Amino acid sequence: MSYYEKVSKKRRRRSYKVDRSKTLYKYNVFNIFVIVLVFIAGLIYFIAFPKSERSEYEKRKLEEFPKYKFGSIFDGSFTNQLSKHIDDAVPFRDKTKDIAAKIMYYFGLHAGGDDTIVIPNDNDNSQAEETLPPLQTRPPEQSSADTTAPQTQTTPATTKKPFVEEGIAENGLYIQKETVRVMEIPGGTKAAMERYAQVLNQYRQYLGDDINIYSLVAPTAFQFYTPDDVLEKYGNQKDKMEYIKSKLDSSIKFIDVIPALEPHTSEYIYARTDFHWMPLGAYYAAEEFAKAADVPFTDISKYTPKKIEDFVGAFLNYVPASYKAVLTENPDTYTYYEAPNMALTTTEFYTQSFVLKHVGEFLVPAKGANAYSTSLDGDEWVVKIKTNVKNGRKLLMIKDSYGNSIAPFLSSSFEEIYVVDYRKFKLNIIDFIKQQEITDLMFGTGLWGAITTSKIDAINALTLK
Amino acid sequence: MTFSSIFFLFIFLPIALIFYYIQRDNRARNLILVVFSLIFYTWGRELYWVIPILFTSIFDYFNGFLAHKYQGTRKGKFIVANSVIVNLLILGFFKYSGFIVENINNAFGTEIEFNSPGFPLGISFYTFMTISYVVDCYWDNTKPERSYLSYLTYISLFAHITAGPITRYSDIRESLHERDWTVAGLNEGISRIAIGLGKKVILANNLYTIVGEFFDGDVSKLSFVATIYGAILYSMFVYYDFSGYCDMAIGIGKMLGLNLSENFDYPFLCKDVSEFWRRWHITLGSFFRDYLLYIPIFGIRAKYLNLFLVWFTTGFWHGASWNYIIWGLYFGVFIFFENLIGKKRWKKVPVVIKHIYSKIVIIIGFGIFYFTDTSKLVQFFRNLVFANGNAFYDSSVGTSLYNNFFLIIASFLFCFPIAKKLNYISENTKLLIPMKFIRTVIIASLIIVSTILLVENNSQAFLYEQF
Repeated sequence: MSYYEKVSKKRRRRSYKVDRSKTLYKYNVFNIFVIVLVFIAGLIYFIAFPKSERSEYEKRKLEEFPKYKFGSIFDGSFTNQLSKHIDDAVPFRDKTKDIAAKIMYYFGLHAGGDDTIVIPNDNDNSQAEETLPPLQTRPPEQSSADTTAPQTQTTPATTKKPFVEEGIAENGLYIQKETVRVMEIPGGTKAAMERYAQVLNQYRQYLGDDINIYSLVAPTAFQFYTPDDVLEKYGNQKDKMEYIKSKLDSSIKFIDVIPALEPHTSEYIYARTDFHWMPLGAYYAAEEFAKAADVPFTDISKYTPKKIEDFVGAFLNYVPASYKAVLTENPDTYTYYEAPNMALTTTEFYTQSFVLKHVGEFLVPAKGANAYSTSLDGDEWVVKIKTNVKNGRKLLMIKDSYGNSIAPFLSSSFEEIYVVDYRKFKLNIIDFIKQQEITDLMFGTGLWGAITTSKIDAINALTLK
Repeated sequence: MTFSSIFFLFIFLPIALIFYYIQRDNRARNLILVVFSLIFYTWGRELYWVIPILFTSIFDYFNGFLAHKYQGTRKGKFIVANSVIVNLLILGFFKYSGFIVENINNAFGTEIEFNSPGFPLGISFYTFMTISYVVDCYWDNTKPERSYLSYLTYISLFAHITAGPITRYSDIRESLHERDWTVAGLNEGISRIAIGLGKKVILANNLYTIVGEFFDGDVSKLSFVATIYGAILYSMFVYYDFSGYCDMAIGIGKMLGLNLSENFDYPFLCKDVSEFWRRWHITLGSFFRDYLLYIPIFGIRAKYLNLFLVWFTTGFWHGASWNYIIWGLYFGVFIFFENLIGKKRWKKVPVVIKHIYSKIVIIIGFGIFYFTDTSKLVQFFRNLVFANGNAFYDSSVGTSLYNNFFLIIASFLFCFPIAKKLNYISENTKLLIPMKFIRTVIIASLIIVSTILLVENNSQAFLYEQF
């Protein structure tokens, strides 16, 4: 290679390097520009767009902008609340969560493909026996002359398990991917079931024999939609129903609804995205109850079905993040049924201390994620339904949210229906039953209400207020 | 306030940067930084928590001068000792007094009551920074800072105040006085913020959820494989969580024109435990190496006593709990044996064996790190030696692997310097423009995806913020 060729090659190499550094400089500026743009877009989005106030998916009010109080700057509460507000009340929060769920699923934080995802149960869902503290009892009714000291009350029992809401465990879900159905794996110990029976037997003692008492325990979907081997592994709910029944006082009628639901599993009797049964499932249970109570009952063909689309239930908050998108893309359709005599009924909504708040109808259609509160407007009220039936029968239902769906199907069965949520009611239930001259008392809860000590104790606590 | 929050990323940081960039004067920039750092520091907390850090900064600002003035004299030694003791007493009072009282009560059956006052944010980090400053002034490794504002900027800087890196004053001094700004630096800074955020929100948060599924329940029932699996995921979680934080801190530093020290160098590539600690939490390791290991506290011959003191302190620094002390000493034991074996003999061991050995030690080490509850820690060890009579394997591991397949694969792959290699390839081939363009898309996507995931889960702070 000649001298000139060597020099020319060196020059070329140098100019190539200069070109590359220029290119890199341009690229760096471009990259900074793009990322700054993303941050500015974020700034505008989080500041200028209207803040969300409530999350329908999480069913909660979002953090509010802090109110300034003297000293709140100094103790950090103002600034703490301000950042909580910005982080929580994100514009279009539910939509964003939807997108987050899709990202988790489609961008590969989940392998996908098989039929089921089993999230192992924690210990409290096991069938192991537990020792429970003694049940609290109501002091004997005192006459004005009675000076007997009231019985010492033991500390209320609590379960070890952190049930978040209505018996949903943090784990313990069974997900059937083919049908996009999420189910709770039921637990429950014999000790807890015995306690449930003991509480109801105590109601019998307090109320005497003049009132009909029923126990209706709604099974979970797991009983009907899982393969036999899985069902046997985690516990057949038939055994639980049998056990509860065997421990109840013979004067208390146990409504076993599993046989009533079994022939209808191909119908839409349970939600896939929520732990509740659908109104149709509640209808078959109500029919069974009406037979046991010997009251008239209107066939479903006389009802007018109404649909609420895009119902994504509470399981959205409990499934693995990677599965959320599947639920939001496969929502339930919530179908409720308008009773033929609805126009002839009056529904009164009371506070938990039984102060009348307003009068309306027992079906209050709600949208989307809130569809389940259509019956009785959710759990917030003590509800009294006055019907056009004249048979002298007055029903009081002590319930959790499973019971809400039953009540609308009994408007042709009782003269009056009182619906009380055991988690919220503030008055003494025994006195209340006597004051309202109730003839029939039904405990209408989900399975968790009969196998969870804290819930059972809450039913018992109604007698102690 | 945590880096991985919408408030910090989209409100605090941009506002702080806007105020910072519109200043031309370095002093004004430092003032802006101090103001925003103190806002950051007291955000959501009582304002009086600013007192300890202000006290420490004033105290050691003067100590630095005096230590430098009297270097090599007994007076100088006294000043350094005074600074170290006062700083450690403050750290001990806030961080360890509850632990000490609890252990006294357990040991002597006493019932001394102690209500922990809580502790100032980042106290473990800024205490070490300020100690290193005074000692470096005494050793003449750096000149004492004349401007208190500059010194306070260094100590309180919001980029590193909560969880490091423990940057030495000598490393940042120049850029505190004259900002080291280049377009390439700014670009790297903004990119590292995005990468750190992605590590935290996409990888670490999800890994932690899986770890909890295994380790938060009854540990004694876990199979052998499930125990190891939980520990592996936890090791990766700590790596992505802490290195993600450091990436963001260094990135913010670069955007401010300040060079913070690197803290990680692909630690899982190590071939022995000593090397692991040269690649993991580098600034803490080098702090102990320079300020404790090479000081012959127990005499020149008792160097191994010093080694165990270092590892006891490393563990204890992480938290007031026995498992951290065990964790530190556990690594100390392996490093002790590696020293005994010697470099020459160690070189002869096949690389595969060295990798297997170091990974087993590290993974079990992070199992120890997880369990602050000693009874659970015992169960963890019992599982490893089959003392709980549990199965070797159970299906929960398969289910978890299956449910989180891509997350785990991605977490595994990014322990290797893939991005570094790709960057090298792009800058040394004709693929420069397309690859850089793809990089921009990836970084922008990381920010967007991480932000969306933050709406889903905004409650997980960085692990090292609690230390």
